[in-house]
Amino acid sequence: MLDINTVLEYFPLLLKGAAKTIVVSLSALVVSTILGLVVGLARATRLPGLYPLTVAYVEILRSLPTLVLLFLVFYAIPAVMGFNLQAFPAAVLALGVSGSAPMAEIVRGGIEAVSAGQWEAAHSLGMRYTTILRYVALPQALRISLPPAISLYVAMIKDSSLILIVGVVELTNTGMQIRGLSRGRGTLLVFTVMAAMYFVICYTIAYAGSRLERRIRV
Amino acid sequence: MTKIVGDSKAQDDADGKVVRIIDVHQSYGRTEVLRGITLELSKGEVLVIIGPSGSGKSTLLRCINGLQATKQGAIYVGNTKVLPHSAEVYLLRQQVGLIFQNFNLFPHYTALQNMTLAPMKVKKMGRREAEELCRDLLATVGLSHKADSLPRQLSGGEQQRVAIARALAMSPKVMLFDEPTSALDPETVGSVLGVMHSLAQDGMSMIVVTHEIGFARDVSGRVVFMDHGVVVEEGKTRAILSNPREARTRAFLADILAPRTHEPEV
Amino acid sequence: MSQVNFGALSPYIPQLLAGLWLTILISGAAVAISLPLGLGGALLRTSRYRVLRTITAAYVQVVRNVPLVLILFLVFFELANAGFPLPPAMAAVAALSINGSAYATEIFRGGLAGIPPGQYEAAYSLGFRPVQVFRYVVLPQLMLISFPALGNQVVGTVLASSVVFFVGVEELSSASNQIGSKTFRYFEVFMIAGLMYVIAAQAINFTWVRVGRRWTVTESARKAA
Repeated sequence: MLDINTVLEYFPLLLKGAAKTIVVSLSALVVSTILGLVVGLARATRLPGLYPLTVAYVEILRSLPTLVLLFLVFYAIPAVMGFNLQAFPAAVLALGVSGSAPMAEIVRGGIEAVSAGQWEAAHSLGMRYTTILRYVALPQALRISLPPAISLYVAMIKDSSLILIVGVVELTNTGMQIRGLSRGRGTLLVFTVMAAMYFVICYTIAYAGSRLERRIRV
Repeated sequence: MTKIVGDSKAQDDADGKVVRIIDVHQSYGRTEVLRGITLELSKGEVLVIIGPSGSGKSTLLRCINGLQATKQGAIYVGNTKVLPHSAEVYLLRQQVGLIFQNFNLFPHYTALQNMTLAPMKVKKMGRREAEELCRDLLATVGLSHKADSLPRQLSGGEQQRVAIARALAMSPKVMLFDEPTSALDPETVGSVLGVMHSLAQDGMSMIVVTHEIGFARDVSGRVVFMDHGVVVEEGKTRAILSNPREARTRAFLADILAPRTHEPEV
Repeated sequence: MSQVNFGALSPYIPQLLAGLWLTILISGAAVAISLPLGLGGALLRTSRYRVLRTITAAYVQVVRNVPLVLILFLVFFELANAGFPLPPAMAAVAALSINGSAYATEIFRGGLAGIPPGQYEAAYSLGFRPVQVFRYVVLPQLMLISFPALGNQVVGTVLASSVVFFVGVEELSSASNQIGSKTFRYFEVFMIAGLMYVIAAQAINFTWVRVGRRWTVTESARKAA
């Protein structure tokens, strides 16, 4: 059970899986950040017409498990749009969209946390709405949003373990393959090594985040 | 009020001294906060402690009811030595009431519930008896009509009066006050001082840390000036306030009594 | 493939509802276990003894940085390998509880930090013993403070329960997949499953907020003069 040979034999495979996990997660992080910024801004600034849409977007996506979203992306795109999406883009899309909803809320929270006094002062100086947003509100909002955003990123990295649904061979998928290949020998250690790899990836992001927080502290 | 004070069981206090503080030292980390304090409080006496912030006054009060340990020295309440981490300290705390600068009422209980909780759960009083006692006490502090209000529905002065009544519900032998009016608006300070005044006149033994010199003049027999963890000067109220011997005392009093806007300590 | 057709799924609705029910059962069990564990964890996390604090902190860190799927696999497969095979549903509840208790620990820890130290001082000054202080002063305030965050935790558990699909528990996601493979109407079935999740999550959230509001109102039930 604690067979170290299995681990050594399949270690390169695990590393490949981990690399895939990192690549997919990072891409999804980018997608969700951009989408989240757009939706969050739209919601916080209450753009007429868009506002109800953004509320619906956030509420629905936050009530869907990532797994179901993955299934939907995998099956919905061909069914509704007629073409097949490759595994990698499907995974990034699903993860990115899934993460964009909480990200939108984080962005919105950050903007709304900028005190009214800041707006009043800026208005009194004659600045216009978009100027205030750009130079006064958003810089502060982004600083406030950083910790919860980092938290979200870690959660998304963990969610990437599900993308085997759409056929991406990332770390968890690799683990299952190894299990099949080694017929159950030494899998405890393999899973532990996998857990350690996830831990390292996630903790690195969290650590980088707190370093960043300290540097941009106002 | 007389009912409350008379209730303190006639335990034979050594020479009628309700509190004895003997050469007490305490530090926070490397900073020595109390550097050899020796004080006594007689039964029925009101002792006022004045001094700048950081002089250790709050720490001293917390040492008396065992919330804070002492590095050196001893404190006695009546005949009982204060042993902070012992089982007896819980019994001792029923004899000592402590009033805080920011009231510390339990926010999830009404005024009446705040008061009845300890008598019922600590002294195992029955509900009806506890409620009767507490309603009486609320009446004496003038807040019968607020019995069912939550702390957040009360003004600062009202909260503090409830806090005093809450402590009185345990029939303590001695009441300690840690800057009871410092966090209050000037208008409400009077209502709280009034309650404390009545308490003193009814014979409660009290140690009051405060900046309210007027209160000291009206009610207190003795004043202690503390600075940097030591007792700088001590004596009869009138003497200290009008003619202090030490330069430090003089300087402090001049500062306090100089006409300026009252700024409550934050 | 043929066009989108939801009607073809009508005979399978009962199976989906059964899956939803299992989802709720599993999530409910996991929540019932993780909340008390989380409370204990928070107390350990703020204990006087550094050993307890460190161990709990390490536990929380590990669980928060490792995917739920992996925890599930470890519980299900490796316990079976070691000779203690757990039925999939139990392994599911165990994994969800392990995961949930770490997050609950953090929620309660935050709540504890929100109780001003003056509350403890006042309670001790009145002669309360530590257990009494916890029971009458700390715990009620802790619950009030943590209530909203706990609601999110419950919803999160329901959504996370979809992961137990991987060990063959026939909850909602698994049932949907099975129906999909039988009818090839994957899109339609997952749309319906998705709708069920959304309704469940929104319903839980809505009720939680309503209950929370009524709870804080009854605290001030009797009117002030």
